[in-house]
Amino acid sequence: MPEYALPTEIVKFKGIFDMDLLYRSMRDWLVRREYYFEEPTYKNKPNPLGGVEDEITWDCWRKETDYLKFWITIDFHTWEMKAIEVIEKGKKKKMNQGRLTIYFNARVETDYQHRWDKTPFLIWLNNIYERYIIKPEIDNIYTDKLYYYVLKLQNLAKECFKMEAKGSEYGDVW
Amino acid sequence: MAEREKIIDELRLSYEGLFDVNELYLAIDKWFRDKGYDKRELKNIEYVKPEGKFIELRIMPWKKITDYAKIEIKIRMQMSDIKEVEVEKDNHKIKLNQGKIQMVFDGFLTTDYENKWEGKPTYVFLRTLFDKFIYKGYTAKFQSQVAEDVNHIHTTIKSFLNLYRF
Repeated sequence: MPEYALPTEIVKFKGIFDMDLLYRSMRDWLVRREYYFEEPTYKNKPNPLGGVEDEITWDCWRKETDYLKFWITIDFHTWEMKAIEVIEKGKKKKMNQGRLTIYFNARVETDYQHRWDKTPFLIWLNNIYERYIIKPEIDNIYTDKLYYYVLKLQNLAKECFKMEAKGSEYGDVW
Repeated sequence: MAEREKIIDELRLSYEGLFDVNELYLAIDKWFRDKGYDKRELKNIEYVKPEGKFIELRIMPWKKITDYAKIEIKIRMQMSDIKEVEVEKDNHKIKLNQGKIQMVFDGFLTTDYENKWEGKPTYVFLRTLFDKFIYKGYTAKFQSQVAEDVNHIHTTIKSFLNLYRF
């Protein structure tokens, strides 16, 4: 089945942040938007020099129409992660310190129900359908919509890190 | 594959002093939105260091001009030693950032982005023929539009940063 991949977005951060908040906020965001959510990878490696290295992968998908499915794959990779205690507004709070990279990958999958790949004629018909009939909609509506969703999710991660270069003037797009 | 021509090659901008990182980021976003560009943010890096924050951004917004050509503007930004400072303006205390910025702008004209003319060598030949001779006027117009847009965003950011000097 054909897929339309979107460009990879990368967010890197080094400093103090709340991993728990990031994890919960992003997961809630996806669940609220009716994404099916699974975590196929969770690796945790202690580093002898201090801290831990984590590798987490999330695969999230949503049936957009009967023919199209949105996929968002998020890879988290952390290094030198330590749990620390900070005082925020007079209260003690558990935070994390370390380095983290998040890769956001997204794609639109077509014919996810495999209804068009049963006979050579249907495959040929699907080819025509996708190349000439539905192509403008996939290009201009669905991939665009998914891309702006990913940007919103990416912005949420930036908010959790309290990064300087955050926010968007495209907030009302999709 | 689509053909990508570099029209503006590494136009630079440097600044050191007071500014607001978030305001700058949103001003760039707004400019692209107003001009009808689609957002594309490739990289956003922030490291908190003892001497101040280090921020690296790589964005590449794009705009379709026709079904055949599109403009892509790539901006690479590096901000270093970014510290938060409090300044007094009109008897009001405001929070700003202080640090250094290095920006590099590239402007591209991408033709045949849907790869419609790439199937056979004959198509490639015909496409080049069209681009160079028959469509020459249009191609030149598209190229000047890329240059105009890159220069405009460059000037807008320069003016935006100069405002913090006063």
